Amino acid sequence: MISASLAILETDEQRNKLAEFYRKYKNRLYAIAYSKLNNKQDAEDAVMETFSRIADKPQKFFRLRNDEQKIMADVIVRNVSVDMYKHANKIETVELSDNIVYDDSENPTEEQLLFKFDKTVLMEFIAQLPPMQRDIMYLRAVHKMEIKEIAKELSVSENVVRQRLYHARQAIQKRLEKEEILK
Amino acid sequence: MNDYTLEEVFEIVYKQEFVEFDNPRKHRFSSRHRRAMKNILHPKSQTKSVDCKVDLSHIPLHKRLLVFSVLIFLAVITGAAFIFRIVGFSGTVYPDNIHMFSLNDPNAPKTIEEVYYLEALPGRYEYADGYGEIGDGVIRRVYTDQQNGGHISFEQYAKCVYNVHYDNEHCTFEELEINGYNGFIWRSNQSELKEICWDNGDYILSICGEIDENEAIFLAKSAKIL
Repeated sequence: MISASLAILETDEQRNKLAEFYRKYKNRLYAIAYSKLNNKQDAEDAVMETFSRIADKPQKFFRLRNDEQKIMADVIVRNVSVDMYKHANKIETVELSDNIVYDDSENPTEEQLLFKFDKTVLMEFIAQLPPMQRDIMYLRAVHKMEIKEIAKELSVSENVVRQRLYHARQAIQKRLEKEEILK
Repeated sequence: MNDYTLEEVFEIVYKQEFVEFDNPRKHRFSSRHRRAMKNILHPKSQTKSVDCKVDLSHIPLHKRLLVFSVLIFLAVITGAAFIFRIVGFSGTVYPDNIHMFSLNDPNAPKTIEEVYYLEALPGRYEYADGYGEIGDGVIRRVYTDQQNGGHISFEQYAKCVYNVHYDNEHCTFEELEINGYNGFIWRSNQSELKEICWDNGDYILSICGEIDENEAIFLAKSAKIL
């Protein structure tokens, strides 16, 4: 599971930045991992894996603002931890059948959120999405990451990413319909 | 469109979600973790140490068994001692025993700071005896198999303390890997007795007893910090 050897930090500047980020947030990320895994060694491994993934594509990470870097690391460590937990407990992620196809077209459903909802309603809606769907939506809609990139970042198959996006969009659609009825 | 972005909304939601981790307790990371992070953050600092009389580190695993056999044979025939080095360990082959040490690792704890246990130890094993605790150089736990009365021992050594003699008559001695870490298995040819010993990055761990080899490896792979 641990892929520490993948780390490819190319410059001293990147190394120093990531080392500083690690010093600042290691306890936070450990606490998030521990809340999912309840085991010291596994939680430390999850932190290690998180940094290994960040170090794998450092340019992308360092382009983010400080707040975004923190959120990104939180999201990765949580997903890594959940993945480790599932792996240890032999819980398999059920994948969608091939006939359910995620529509990856332009102007996706997510954009409609901004037109239809006010900020408070939108926050409430995003907060009640299952964390994994929310994470994938965040990476896709905000960071414009490709399905393949998201799958790699979160250690799931591309099909699972599509599946979660599909469900998130279904939820958006339902909510939009509900809003229409209320009007 | 509204005067806010999806990004802003997500940020607020995530900040609320992770707010309980804003002031985390300070965790004392293990030296194993610290070393691994050092390799991620400063990969250029990784070095290889090779300065030995017989270095087996770069010989394929299946050929090392042959080399061990030759060294033991030479020690018996000549009465001389041969020093060899494998990854993490150094050993001296004498005519009637092999003396194993851990290679000097300045980053390794000098005493036991974190205690390991065997997560996969079946319920039929009951704790029988032992010694050592945090702060000591060695911790040993002996368990009895309630079904057949056999015993296994699980030992944890600070690397600087590890210093063990193994019989090399009527036995085999072979390298193996446990969760990616190097170690070796010693097997008696006259009984089911065997010992698996490996360097887990921080400590030397060993499982010894009259136990099936696959079960011993399975148990070794399940070693975790208590």
